[in-house]
Amino acid sequence: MYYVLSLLTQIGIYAVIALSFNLALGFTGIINLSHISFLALGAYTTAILYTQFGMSFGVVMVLSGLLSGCVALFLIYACRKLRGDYLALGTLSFHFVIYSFIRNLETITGGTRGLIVDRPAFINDGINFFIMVVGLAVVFTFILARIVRSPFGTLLGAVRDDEKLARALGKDSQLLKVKAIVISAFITGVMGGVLAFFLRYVHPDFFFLYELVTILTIVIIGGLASLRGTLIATFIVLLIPEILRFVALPSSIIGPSRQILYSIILLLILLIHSRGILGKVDLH
Amino acid sequence: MAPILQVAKLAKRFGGNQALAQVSFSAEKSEITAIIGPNGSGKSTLFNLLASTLVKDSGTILIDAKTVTDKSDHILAKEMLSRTFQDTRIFTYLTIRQHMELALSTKDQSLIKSFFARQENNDDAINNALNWVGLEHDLNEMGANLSYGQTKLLTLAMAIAKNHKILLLDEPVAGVNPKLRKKIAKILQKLRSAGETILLIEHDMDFVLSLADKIIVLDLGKVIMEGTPKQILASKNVLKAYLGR
Ligand SMILES: Nc1ncnc2c1ncn2[C@@H]1O[C@H](COP(=O)(O)OP(=O)(O)O)[C@@H](O)[C@H]1O
Ligand SMILES: [Mg+2]
Repeated sequence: MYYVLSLLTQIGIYAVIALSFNLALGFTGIINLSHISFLALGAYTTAILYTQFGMSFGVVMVLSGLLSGCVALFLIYACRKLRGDYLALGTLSFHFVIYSFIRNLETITGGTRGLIVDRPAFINDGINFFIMVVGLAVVFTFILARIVRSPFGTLLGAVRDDEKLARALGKDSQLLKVKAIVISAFITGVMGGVLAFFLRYVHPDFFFLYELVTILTIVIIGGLASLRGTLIATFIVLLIPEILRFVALPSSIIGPSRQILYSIILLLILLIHSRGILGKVDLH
Repeated sequence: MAPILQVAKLAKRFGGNQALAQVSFSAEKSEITAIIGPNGSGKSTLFNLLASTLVKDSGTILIDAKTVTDKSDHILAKEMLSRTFQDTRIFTYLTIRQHMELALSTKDQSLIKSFFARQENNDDAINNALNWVGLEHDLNEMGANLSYGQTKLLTLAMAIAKNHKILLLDEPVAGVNPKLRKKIAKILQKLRSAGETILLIEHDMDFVLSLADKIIVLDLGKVIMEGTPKQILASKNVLKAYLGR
């Protein structure tokens, strides 16, 4: 029972992280490979402010989102001249910058020792925690669905499909991208806080590039620019490795098996059906 | 009345390539001004400078006697210029309706307003704009599924629908069949009758001669002649630029 609850909680958290990644990649066309660093920033902000400074839960959640949002603002400004592959490289290196900071800023982040995170009493119980995650997932999914179906969402699609044409129609594409990435990072930052509480511990290795592969696999399998696809794919992608638990494999393979599996699935999808389950947009 | 567009000594260089040199001309309100010239003579570059998509090296651009070159491209587009591109551009995954909504919306679409706004039905305005170009198609069709001719018409409809003082059309009939060519020529005449000011790039001389009120001939980045179609026809310089290579 505990195992199932914990798995479902994890699915809830990952779903929101993947949805916000899809807002940037699928709906706006921004290849942001530093998505996981926004998760890390949120998680560490929560770990530090809640456990060490004793700030209240709500304030900590909001600040985790805001910090990620502000850093995203800086990132998109720094990368404003980059497009396509170059933007991917720029954001990827930013990921490593944040990762190294976290790893090496020992006095603040605990470095490779990590940080213990206390849970607030009201979510100390697994069921309560799960209910909170479901609540957050519903709220964020609703907000994102509303955004992408609004005229603002159409603007994001225009920027994704042809930025030049969007500008020729009088749309400030740069500002739109900023808004999209800040929303994406804010939500991811909040979920970073939730993840910290969930794990009761934060460590730099939780936020290594591997995690991006998981998120990318979810979003690609579900399909770019499809929120429903992302939700379905989160279940599929997080449940598959659980099956491996029941297969007898040598321990040297069990460790990296999840990442190997995801990489294979990702490759297969890209080769066979690049639009994923419900994708509306092709990778280009 | 002063011309609606006045360009003086406009210049643009790409590395060692002087794409435009000392280009000066003007365009009158409610007229079709055609810019013709061989491939690579700088016509599209001229549009890019007018629309502020590229930054000029020197020169001045006045619209309604006011200088506009300090405005960024999207602001200029929002306030006064509608344009189509030579490489016909389209939003691949947006529907025809969404294309037209983007063109028609004048409000700055803030996230918050958009989030709480009720869904508007502006099909009438959209159909009205599409009627201008005679594009009859399911509004829910995606850009990716349109034929080349349909994309030409859709981008034209968007440019017309969007708030503007001047229409910049970069080769609106390039690559289209003769029937559609005639149709687009008619659309342009209709637009002029309705008082539209049009700047038209075209490298086919015949098309332009029958349509334009004024023709500006570019060659190697310079204006080699400016005049009525009659004057242009009579000029040896122009014919040399066209036939001499
Ligand atoms: N963005 C650019 N960068 C470098 N060179 C350019 C660019 N745009 C145009 N050119 C060059 O400027 C010249 C004029 O091009 P263009 O304005 O496209 O001509 P036209 O539209 O009359 O065919 C050409 O030699 C072209 O190669
Ligand atoms: Mg051209």
